[in-house]
Amino acid sequence: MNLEQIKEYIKENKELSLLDIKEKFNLSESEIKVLKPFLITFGIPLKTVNEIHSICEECPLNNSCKKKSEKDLGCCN
Amino acid sequence: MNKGHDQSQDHESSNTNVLTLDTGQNQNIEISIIGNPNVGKTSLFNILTGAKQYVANWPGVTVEKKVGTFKYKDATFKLVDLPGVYTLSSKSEDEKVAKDYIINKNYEIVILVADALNLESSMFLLLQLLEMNVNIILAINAIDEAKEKGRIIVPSPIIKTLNIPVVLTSARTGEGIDELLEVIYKYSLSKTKSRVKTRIKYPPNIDKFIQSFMELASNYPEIKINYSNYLENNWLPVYFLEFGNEDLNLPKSFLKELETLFDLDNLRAEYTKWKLDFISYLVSSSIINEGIDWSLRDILDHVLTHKVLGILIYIFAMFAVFSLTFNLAQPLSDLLELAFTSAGNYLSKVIPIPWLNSLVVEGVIGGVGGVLVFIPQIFILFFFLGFLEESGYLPRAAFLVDRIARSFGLSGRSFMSIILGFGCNVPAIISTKTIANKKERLALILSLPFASCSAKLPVYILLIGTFFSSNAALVLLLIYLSSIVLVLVSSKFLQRFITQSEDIPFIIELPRFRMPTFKNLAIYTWNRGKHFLQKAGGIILVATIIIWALSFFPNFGQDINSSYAAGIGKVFEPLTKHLGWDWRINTGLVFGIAAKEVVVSSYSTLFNVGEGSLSFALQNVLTPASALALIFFVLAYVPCFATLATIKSETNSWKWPIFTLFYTTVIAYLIANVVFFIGGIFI
Repeated sequence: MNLEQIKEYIKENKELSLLDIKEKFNLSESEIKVLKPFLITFGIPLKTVNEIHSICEECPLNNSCKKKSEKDLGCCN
Repeated sequence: MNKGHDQSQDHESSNTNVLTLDTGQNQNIEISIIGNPNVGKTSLFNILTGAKQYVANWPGVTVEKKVGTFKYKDATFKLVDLPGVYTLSSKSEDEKVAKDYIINKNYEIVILVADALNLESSMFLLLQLLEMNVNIILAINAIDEAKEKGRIIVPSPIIKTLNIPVVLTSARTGEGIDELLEVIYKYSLSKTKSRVKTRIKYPPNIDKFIQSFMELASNYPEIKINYSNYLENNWLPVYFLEFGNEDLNLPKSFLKELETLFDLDNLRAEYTKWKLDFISYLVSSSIINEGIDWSLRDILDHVLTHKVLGILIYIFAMFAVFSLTFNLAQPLSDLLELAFTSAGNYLSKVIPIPWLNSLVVEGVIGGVGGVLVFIPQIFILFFFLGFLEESGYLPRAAFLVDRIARSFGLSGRSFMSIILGFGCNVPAIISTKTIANKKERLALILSLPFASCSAKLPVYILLIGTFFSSNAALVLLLIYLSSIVLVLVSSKFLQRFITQSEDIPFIIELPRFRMPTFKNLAIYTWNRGKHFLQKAGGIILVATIIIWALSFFPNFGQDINSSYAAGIGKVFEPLTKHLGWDWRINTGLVFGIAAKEVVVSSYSTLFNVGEGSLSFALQNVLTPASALALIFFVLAYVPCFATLATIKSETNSWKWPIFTLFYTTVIAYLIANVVFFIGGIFI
């Protein structure tokens, strides 16, 4: 795994998924997992696209809202 | 005996000479818990502390601080839950909070929680903590899930190489928790001096750099004062090597001296390579995957995120969801309608006072009942959307349309906000916080009200069921796709005026595929659907009573055409008459500003009918083209009060909600006219 090459590739392409990198550099699932924190140290943030749930504390309507779920999944969920 | 127990014993046996108990200091021992995001850290925290916990904010930031206490044997522990992080830098607020806490060392030990399925991602943090000379217990969580997936964790290489205690745990089954408590107890009470410290053995060049850095730093009093915590255990040179001077602001003269001695870029690359190799060695020696075929997931990912095929699959998936929603819900909806009609008929006979009779039958039963008959559609839609989301498909669809969004000059993150907006615009707007480009974020905030929120569903279902029942799913799909296009085009349009800034590269991480459990789907469906019920008993009921009163007075229901409600609607008739919308349609739209469901309840009251005959009444007033224009108007016009309040809060200005009010109305009116014109040709 060549970190410098990966870093350059990401900077050229702006937005990629881990799958794109995995395919481009023929990395294993395990290598991709190792890679994640290194990317952060390079100043390339990871954005996880699985948070459909919002956070109640961040909501401006938090004080007056009655939508909060018992499981703390966030409002409107 | 479980694996976690085995390993803690393994640790104990390998460290018996260092675990000398100091039982004189066993009160309020502070320990902390750290780990990557979503590794089950909070679950372990909850198991250890139970109800004895409180939540506050870390000083100066909005990051949540969770603190709890627990007793084990004769010791009382204070447990601090640190934010989920991959590294200890200052790249985000979470990381800064965690780093500052760790570096200040007001604790005895740190429990690093790692996910057994993603152990590789925790190794970086583990190594970083060791570099800071922190006393660590590594808790490898979700060990049961790892076993199920054929992944075996062998902790002995980690224990022997790094000389730290390792416990295998499962927050779900409770496996390994007793062992963890025992290790915490023994390790935190052992005399500090007797603990074996792991000394990281760096390559010679790095060692030389650390030594020179420390010698040079000793000549700079300001470094000694400002970075005393970093200097302890030689972490300052390592941190500088890893993250550069951005967060540190070391004196320029110091940096110059350093640059004359070392080629920092080469050294940095050497350090990173050493770290990667070290982590790779640990990973390869401690994780065994038992012949699981991971390729199926890769193939699925490849197909579902394919530029062309993926889009077709997404359209088909949404079409299937909408078809199932209409087909499965209709019989149940008919039953509910029958129940409300019967209740209305019965009450109209037993309530003798005319105005009360009108209020209950036409106002409450007709209005609120008119909305409640759509409960089956709403719950079934949420159920299937929940399946797509929980299975991990929806994030992939989001990623797919992300690529399209980029061709609109938008940040890829935008589509996730649009998907959120399908539920409710409020969390969608809040979710734009993750978009680094502020101007681009503003464009998206102002465009997200075009995302078709679930409150608009009853209006769509009513009008689609009335005018387009043979192609219901197709029309609903068209509305949703139009909604996405509208947000994208609007963002692009607004960016022309307000945005010009540089893109920041980032990586999108997609969640694992998983089969959702029925229980999870039921909770998801209920959590979303119950708000609809709460609204029916709240704002919809109140708005319906107001509309009834406005339609009943001043002539006590004798002539609705000269009521207050008619007066409100007639103001807009010159603008809407050519679209085929009379005052009743307009009045419903006006009250729909409070909540979109109120449009339907208003129509039930204003057309003076229950839902069944409302369809017939609407068919007498609207043509299919004007109904389609109305659907698209509702899709785009003024967002609800809650959304406007959120826009105000997120932009910190009244200017933008006021702009949104006019912008969305003008766009909605233009779209309605275009749809009416085109619809008039084809329908």
